[in-house]
Amino acid sequence: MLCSEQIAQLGESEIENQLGDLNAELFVIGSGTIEEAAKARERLKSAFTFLVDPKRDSFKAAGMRKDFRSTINLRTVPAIFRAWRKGHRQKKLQGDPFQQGGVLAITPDNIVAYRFISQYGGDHPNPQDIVEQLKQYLD
Amino acid sequence: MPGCERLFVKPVSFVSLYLTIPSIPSLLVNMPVDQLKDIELHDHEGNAVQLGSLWKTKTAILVWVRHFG
Repeated sequence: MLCSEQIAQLGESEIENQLGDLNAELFVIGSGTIEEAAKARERLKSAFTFLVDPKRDSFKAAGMRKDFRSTINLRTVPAIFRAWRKGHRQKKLQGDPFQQGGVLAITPDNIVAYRFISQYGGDHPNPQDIVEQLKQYLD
Repeated sequence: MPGCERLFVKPVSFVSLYLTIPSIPSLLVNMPVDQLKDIELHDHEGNAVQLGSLWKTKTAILVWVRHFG
């Protein structure tokens, strides 16, 4: 539900054109199957490429959090309420509940120009902040 | 009294444990991407994609979500 909210937020923000101007492209990486990724992309009407990482190797390599404290966290409660108000609903529990996500922007010269490591469920960066910080870096 | 001190400290520690500070985006992170670039994943159409190929010619913004559900 919180993941769906984040993907939907990225689509609603219409940052795709701005990223195109910056010669950047956004990819969504999740721990499901290819079928689940295709279904989610269709359901959320997302134009981004979805990548599946069932073993979560890329999560580990990128330094994403995976612990009890980040999931069972008081800050997740308002995030769940926020997602629920936007119409996102929790279905069956999928994936590792202790795994958190995040965002990295990597330039062609192998520089991480932006990094956001989610500290709890629902801790997402504002899509516009990603664009602004990338602009600052490229300037 | 040592007992009173323990009673006071414990609830504070419990609350601080579950109130994590939200993450702050960082610019120009000195982070090696070598471990990432060789990882091979599949896209939603089933095509194999090497992560390093995503930022070969343009900046790649990679958004990790726990699950697609």
